[in-house]
Amino acid sequence: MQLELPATSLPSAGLQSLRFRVTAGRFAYGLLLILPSLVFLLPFTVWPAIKVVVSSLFLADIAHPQPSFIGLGNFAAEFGNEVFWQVMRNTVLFAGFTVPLSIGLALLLAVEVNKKLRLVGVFRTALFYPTILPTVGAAAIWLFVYAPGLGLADRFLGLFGSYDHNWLGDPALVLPALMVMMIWKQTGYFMVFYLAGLQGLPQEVFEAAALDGARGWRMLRSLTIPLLSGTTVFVSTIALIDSFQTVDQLFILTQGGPNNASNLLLFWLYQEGFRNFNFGRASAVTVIMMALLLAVSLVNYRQLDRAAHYES
Amino acid sequence: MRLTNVLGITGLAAGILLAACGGSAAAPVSGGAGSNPAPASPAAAPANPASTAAAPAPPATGKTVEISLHYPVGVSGPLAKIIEGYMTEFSKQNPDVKVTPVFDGDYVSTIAKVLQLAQAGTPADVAIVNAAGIYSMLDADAVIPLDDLIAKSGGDSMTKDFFPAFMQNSQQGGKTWSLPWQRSTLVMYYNRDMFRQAGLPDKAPQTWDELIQDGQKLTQKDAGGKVTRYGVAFPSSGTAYWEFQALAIASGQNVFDNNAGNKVFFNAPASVQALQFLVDLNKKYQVSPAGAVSWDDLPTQFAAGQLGIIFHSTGSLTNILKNSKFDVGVGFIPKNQQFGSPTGGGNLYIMKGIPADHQAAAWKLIQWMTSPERQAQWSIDSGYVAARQSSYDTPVLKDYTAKTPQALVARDQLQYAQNELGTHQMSEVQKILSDAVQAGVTGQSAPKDALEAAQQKAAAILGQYKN
Repeated sequence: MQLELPATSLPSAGLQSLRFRVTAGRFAYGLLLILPSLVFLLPFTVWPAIKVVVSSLFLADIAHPQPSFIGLGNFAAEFGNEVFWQVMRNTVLFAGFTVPLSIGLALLLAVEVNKKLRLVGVFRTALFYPTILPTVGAAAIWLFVYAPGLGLADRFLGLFGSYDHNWLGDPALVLPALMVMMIWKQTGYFMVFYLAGLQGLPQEVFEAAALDGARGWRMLRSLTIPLLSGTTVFVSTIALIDSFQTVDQLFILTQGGPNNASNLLLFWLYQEGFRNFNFGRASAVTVIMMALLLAVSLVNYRQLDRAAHYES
Repeated sequence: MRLTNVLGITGLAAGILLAACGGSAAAPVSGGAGSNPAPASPAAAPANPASTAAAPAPPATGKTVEISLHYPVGVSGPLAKIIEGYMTEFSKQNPDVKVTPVFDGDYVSTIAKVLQLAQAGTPADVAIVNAAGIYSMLDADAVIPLDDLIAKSGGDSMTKDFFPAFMQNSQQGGKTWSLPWQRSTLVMYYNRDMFRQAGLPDKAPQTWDELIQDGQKLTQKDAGGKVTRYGVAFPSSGTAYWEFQALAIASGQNVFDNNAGNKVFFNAPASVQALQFLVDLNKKYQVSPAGAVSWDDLPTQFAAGQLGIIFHSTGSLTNILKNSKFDVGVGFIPKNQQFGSPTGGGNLYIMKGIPADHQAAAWKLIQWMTSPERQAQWSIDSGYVAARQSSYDTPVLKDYTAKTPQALVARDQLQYAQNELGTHQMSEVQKILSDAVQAGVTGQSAPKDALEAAQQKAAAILGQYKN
């Protein structure tokens, strides 16, 4: 971020030096403010990020312990690999479905548990519960849910007559199956943000709308959702990043299979780095992922600036 | 805050990778510092004065050498606890050596950790790594040959006692690089009670035809023609290449050249037949579930009486016997052309670049762990096949196999066993075959097409290696 005084306040060229001094002063002041986080960000985030960009340009695998420069060769190898594209497609689908669905569901649930109902504390706890489970533990539970014939999913569907699905072994079912687990895991977390947002909203607006005869859906669409747009942008950023980041369940449930049908970008990165021992290509995948996440969060950041108007 | 988050995550991934790249200051991230007593710098090791000056001779009296043992756990059961117990026992019998066992997760994470430590210049002392991982260990120049040590400790009379099928993976370029520790093969488990109820003779199917016939009798359907119980299940999830190898070997040819690390036969007639058979079990004969069948689910489903015949590791024997409320039979992999099964499991390696006294202690430990008595006990505790033939003459294992004759089937099958797929770039090549198998069983590609494509991919990778 650049720190600048509005140009209109400094009309004359003679004031340029003053402007510079003021700007420098504000810059130093700003720098001082972010210094504590910079101390950690520089060595643990920025420096590794730079290093990974550098190592993405080198051929470094188990047979080449001494890395040699190959330019964009690692990127070319990834772009020429059909598995990489399958993984990208899966990742986009995974994010594209889990993010809006879990956010939408979270909003609806938050509105419900924000009402003064009996046992509301129990409901809130139950809905939040999946969030506090470690992903690996949750995945182990879902392994039983998805066990063909035996599991909860098939037992439940058995009530309606169809009962034998190889949930995690069928390329058409495996990604949706993982999405359901992700939504189950995340919704409670996002619900808490919305709940906090809801409780901070001015009640008069809703009372006034009620007097005007607004009811349920109308109230939600015209008041609640717009008023919570700041929360939504925040939650969707977190959700998007999480959907790229969550990979633990793949270790337990599918190993990315069958035939890469459930392979996601971060798991692919792990496979390239620690199964294939190809650190150059793994670095290239990391760079691609960094670029994607950066782009996504910049877009969201802009929207947040705009959305902030509603809440102040 | 949001930006921080983004960078934090990617930075984390980057950090992990950097640690892996070795050479950088990030190396201690891998946790070696506390658990690995080896000196920090290998470059300093040769010049290291006092302690290593006594070179190859065993350490002077009264001084305790501390060495690390890095190991994976590949099957279910409390194996980590058992290994820790063994190490305590070893140190009691050998007060001059103290072993620090380091649990590194599964095989994949163990070989990753061990190679990272080696590249960072702080090698482990002893490591249990996939027997098939020999090319990875050699390509990374991370291990030492054991021939001199073996020669001093009985030579051929020692190595000849190991089952030849288990030693195949150990030898390369006329040298022995590792000794077997936890070794397994794929076997067939069948529900004898279910066989009786279906009016089948009380014997394991010996051929593919018999397997199909038995499977059809064991498979049950409801009035609507929907299958309620499958007769046969052959796993094809995760690391499907290993189970698939059994079918390829049974059809006459292993999926790679046992004696070279750069040649695979993924598109050979035997491999194509094997995959076609796997597809047919479901599509044509309808005795098996559709899609990629989960390796992890099978023992549970079998023990619950949901399946008549399954194929799984010998390492699951103890677990399956414990959880099944019926008579469990164990048999060979049925033959198409011949009997056969891939071997699997982990071997003991001594890492390169450790001081001489560590090396001597490491060899002491390996001798102890591969002794006939220890292998016998380990086989009972874990379910693995004892790696030494004379283990089966020890009273303790004789006693056990008299009560549990199923444990002998895997040993008897060893005479037909061949190597686990272990080439250069092992994991990548294994995954290519696993993907092809899964493309076949899920109906994404015809078996021949899937294997043809896999052959091209693997050949492109292996082309850069001379042998």
